[in-house]
Amino acid sequence: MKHYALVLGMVGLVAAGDRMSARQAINDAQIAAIVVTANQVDIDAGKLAETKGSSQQIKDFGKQMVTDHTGVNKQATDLVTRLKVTPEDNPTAQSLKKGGVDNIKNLNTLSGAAFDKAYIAHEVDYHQAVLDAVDKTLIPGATNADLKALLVKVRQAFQAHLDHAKMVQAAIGK
Amino acid sequence: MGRFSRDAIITLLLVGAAAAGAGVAMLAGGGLGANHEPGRLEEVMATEALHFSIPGAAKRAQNPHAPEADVWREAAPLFAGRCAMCHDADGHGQTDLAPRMYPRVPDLGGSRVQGFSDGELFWIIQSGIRLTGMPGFRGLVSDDDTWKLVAFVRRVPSLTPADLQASHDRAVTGTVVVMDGTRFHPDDLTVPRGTIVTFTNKDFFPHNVQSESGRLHSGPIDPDQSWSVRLDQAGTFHYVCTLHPGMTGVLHVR
Repeated sequence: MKHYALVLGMVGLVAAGDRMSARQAINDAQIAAIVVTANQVDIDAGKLAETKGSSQQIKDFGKQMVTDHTGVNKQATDLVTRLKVTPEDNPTAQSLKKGGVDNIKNLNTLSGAAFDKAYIAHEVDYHQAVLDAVDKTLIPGATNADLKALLVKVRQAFQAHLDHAKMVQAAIGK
Repeated sequence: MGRFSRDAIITLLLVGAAAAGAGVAMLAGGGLGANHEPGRLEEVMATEALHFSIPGAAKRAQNPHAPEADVWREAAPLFAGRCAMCHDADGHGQTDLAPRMYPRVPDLGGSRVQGFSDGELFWIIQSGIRLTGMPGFRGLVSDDDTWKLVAFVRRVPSLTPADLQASHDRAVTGTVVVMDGTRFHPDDLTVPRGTIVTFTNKDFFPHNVQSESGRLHSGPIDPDQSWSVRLDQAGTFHYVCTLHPGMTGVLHVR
């Protein structure tokens, strides 16, 4: 049940993003905050999976998420520093952060195969939700060309992660 | 004491005296520093000592690649990477390091080096030469590549700048696979045998290249880093980044 609540939360995130883009209220500083938060949320979950995961596939996937999202965040941070943009907190970033905290709380109540299944199911949903936000809100909303290019590139990594997560999910069994 | 033993002792004494003489000549001629020219006697003695030190079987070893074959071209990138620092890209040794080394870096196209047999050149590349700047490449350069380097050395006297440029172009053009957006670009590539294929990571996190057969095995390639592999055998290699299993490619070597 908790899992569905989290997914609903993420749907809310995309909807919030849609509303922001409709109002054209989102700016590059807010997009930067969303990107950094989205990565950090998955890094935190990945670290937990590295230590708490029961199957090697889950541990490896978690480790991969930590490595990749840390690399993306370094690039994002370098870019905003270069552009002299200070990431600006906003409802979408806050919603992402809360979703991440709730996910960790939920995962901490689980262990063994149940942990693995819940973690990878969330990874599938999370990457899908972030991809939707990137496509519908962040890329259309970005004004700086470098930031837009970064988002396009990051999108490809998120897509690869989504495909990978689905493979792992199929391998360990839903 | 038999005649044989007496001759041996006399020979040893003569060699010892010659070596001592050469040593005195070296010291008198400027000590053991590396900045002065070696004398003729020293050069001849060093060359003869080198001939003498190479085992007979190694001297007689034959290059498995036919002299008329173009294998020297395949060795050009390897020569550029491993040897050109001292020997220069064209093998004539006119680098800025050359006059600072002692013994001097030889002209690979000169009569002294060309006077070695193929087997001797192979042995020198693999074993190095003690008390000189020449390292032994055994373990770093395969036997087959060493024979190709021997072929390259044989080509040095007639090597033209156009030859070198053509080899360089061949090594560079169309053989770079870029890893970007968690994909290989191009993900389907056909190359001739002997091509060096370089995989360059333009993503923000590590990738690797691993083929089913194990022929391609890069280990982690960090962002903005590259890994190169030379493909000498014909075949089709399906490969994957094991860190991102959806990231796949294929190389056809003809």
